[in-house]
Amino acid sequence: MVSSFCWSCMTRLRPTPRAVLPPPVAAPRAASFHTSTVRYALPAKKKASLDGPPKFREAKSARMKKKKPVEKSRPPSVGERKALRKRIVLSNPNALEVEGMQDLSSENMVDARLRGSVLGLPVPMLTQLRAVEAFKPKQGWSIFRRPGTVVRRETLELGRFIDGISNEGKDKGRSAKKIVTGVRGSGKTVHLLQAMAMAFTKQWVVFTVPEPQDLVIAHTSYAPLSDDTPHLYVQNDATAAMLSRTVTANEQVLKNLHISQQHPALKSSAKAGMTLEELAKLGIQDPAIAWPVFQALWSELTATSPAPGFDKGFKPRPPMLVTVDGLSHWMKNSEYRSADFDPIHAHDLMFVRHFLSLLKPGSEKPALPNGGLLLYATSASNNPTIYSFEVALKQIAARQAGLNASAPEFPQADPYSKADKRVIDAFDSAKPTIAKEGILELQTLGGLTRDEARGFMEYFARSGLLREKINDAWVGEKWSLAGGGVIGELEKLGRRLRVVN
Amino acid sequence: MASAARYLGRSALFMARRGPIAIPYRSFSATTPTFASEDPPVPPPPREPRPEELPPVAEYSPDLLTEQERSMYDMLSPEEQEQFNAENRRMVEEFNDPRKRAAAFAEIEKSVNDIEREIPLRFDETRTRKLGFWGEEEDDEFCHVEDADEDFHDDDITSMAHAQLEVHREIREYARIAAWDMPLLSKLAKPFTLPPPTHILRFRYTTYMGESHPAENKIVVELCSQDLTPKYLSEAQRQTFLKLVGPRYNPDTDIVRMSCEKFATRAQNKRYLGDIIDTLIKEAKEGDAFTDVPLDLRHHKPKPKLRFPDSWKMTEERKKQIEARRADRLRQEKERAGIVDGKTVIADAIKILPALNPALKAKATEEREKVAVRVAGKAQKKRLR
Repeated sequence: MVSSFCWSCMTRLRPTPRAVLPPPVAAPRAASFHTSTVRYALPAKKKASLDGPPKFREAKSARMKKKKPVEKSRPPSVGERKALRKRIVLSNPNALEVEGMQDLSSENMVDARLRGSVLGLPVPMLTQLRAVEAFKPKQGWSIFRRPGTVVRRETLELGRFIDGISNEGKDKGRSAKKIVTGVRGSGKTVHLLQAMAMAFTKQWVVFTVPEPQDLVIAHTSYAPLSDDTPHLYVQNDATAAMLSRTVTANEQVLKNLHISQQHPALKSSAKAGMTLEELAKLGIQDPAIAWPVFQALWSELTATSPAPGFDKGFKPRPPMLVTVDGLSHWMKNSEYRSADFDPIHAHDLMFVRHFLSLLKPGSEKPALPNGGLLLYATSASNNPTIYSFEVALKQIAARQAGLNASAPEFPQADPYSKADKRVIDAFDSAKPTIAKEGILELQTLGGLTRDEARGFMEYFARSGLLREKINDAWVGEKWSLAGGGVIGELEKLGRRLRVVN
Repeated sequence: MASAARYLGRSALFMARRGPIAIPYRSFSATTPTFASEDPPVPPPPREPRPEELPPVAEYSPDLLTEQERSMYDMLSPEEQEQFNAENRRMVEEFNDPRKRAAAFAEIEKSVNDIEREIPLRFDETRTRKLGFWGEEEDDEFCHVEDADEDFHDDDITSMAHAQLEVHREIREYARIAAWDMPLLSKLAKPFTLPPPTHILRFRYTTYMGESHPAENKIVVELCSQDLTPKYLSEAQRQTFLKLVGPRYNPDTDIVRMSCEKFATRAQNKRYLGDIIDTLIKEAKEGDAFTDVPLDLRHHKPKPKLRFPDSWKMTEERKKQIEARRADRLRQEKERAGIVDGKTVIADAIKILPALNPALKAKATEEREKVAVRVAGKAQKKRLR
């Protein structure tokens, strides 16, 4: 504490005279910035309850405030969140309609002049495409007025191939087997979608496996195939779902085809004169027989001639398109367990085994005798790393390049890497002996060319999404930014919101 | 009680029969006691013989010397031997003369006494001074050695400066060597020639510049496995050889590297490595071929070497190419019918679409209202849950 004595002279400091201090004037002498009268804050009110002695009939003890129960909204009902997550929106009414956008048709499928432009998917076909789950939730369909795809080089090749198989000519009845790979966002799934759309325009039968992962993560039921083969398993629910997809998508085609083969496995339920649609619906209604029904349907669709006794009204079967999107999930042990609690290899699931067996060349008749296309795509975003699958893909590429399997530079799995022999064998298909059957090929999707990228970006601008002048310099910049025209990256650049002056 | 009495009585009887009791009390042990004998008195230490009591030494002759001394004596020259003999004879003579001997001993005694007087021998322990926590009183160990600078007469530079000078001298010495002697080394230089194809082993020695090092004797040998074919091994045998050497093989460079520091000398280690390679080659030729075992390269992780791609290098030719391509693109751009501009697309759309144009929208509403009759629906009551 400061003493009030001055220590040097030992006299008491006198308090400052009142007159020296500025007068405690309330009124401001200087002109104030505003004209309203000065008001001071009200003196703080004494807190009544806490200070002072308790009043009559009043408790002084600390009182906890009761929490009012928060009004909780009901949690979303079962499946609602998943439905929201898996919702596919194919149109955006706020986007402008692109003038002069053509629809995909059997005529312009092969038109090389359309390369680099965006072709719309025909509206009636959308239900079919939805049925085969050609659209994926994370794709950017919802930013445009209506779904459309870019015609790129691979699309034109695909169109020509599908057109050639469907039309009368030397290519009729040919079949090809392709594994589609590419970097992330390079348009593998959309390539499959384009194939499906073309197949639908050409009245093919389309079988799809949109999510191969779902078959091996032990989320659907499974059962041993029979007592004779206890190590093989069928997945009836998944098979029924696939039948349902196929029937919904290919209703028009299947309605016009009739049973032409004996189906001893189905006994009495498959009657002569049934349409294939009805046959497939047997499996949907009763998933317990879904697998035999699928086999029956498959044998019907791959039939080249009627069995004796079924000659009446046999129509030649249409070509088939089989797509699988995300192949590598099928290349390892599944999450299923056998009765001994050993993991079941994915190749022991009949469903998987059937689709993988199509990759092998047929012995007396091709895997797809009426022609068609197998398009199995890998995924780059949801992709387990499987060494043996990588080696198998390299081997396919080497075989495609004409390298003999016994050549020293033929890629082999490292003998010490414990590569899965079954996986390598699954793709180890020799050269097919039948002329119409193609060798298993590896198709790697890369980026768009600059012209294609330009067409794609113009589509953004004409949809009113991109307020830029789409000139060569701008496209070149975006093309480089997108890793050499990787279409997924281009889409990100096109849809990005930006400040426009 | 009765049985106890009987028991005692029996032993008493037994004792009585034995005869007179020698020991009045019962001992703990059955052995007869023997007492320790008295320590014999310590005899006084023998008195040191007085000088005059010492026996006379025998007359000197070289034959009396010990073997070692004799060998040294033989190595001396004859005149030195003569001198040595004379000296020894004189010493013996002096010792044998009692008067001179007494004088010598007295002198020794006197000098010992002098030393004892100067440095008195004290047996009381000097108490070690206890050092404080910081040990401030402690003698500085580094001050024990006498410093040359202790008594400095201002006639010299300090020892540190001397050391600095010494460093300078050394530097100059090496500079002289570099300037005058080292150019002469080029006369000894031999042009490099590739080792002949017979010399496929490369040995590496390590010197540590004169310092001793535990790895001085280490030898490393390297050989390229391709050099072994076809002279020493066939291709199949080479594969076996590589399987035998295991992780010593580098598949990137095709070099097998082995080292040895097992033995004390370099020559031994080198010899050992040579023998090992001989053995390996012999084994690859004659032993198990290991055809069923694939070559294991798991020890080697190939290092990705990132190189600037050749196609990216900006050469004159490539510059021209790019220029040409740009010009071509520019030309195409000019020829192109119309460039799509996102802004004009939207501006056009605003003119047409009522959804984007408030004026059009208002007009459309107006028109609609002309025709349509507005039906005011009863507002639904808000349902409470």
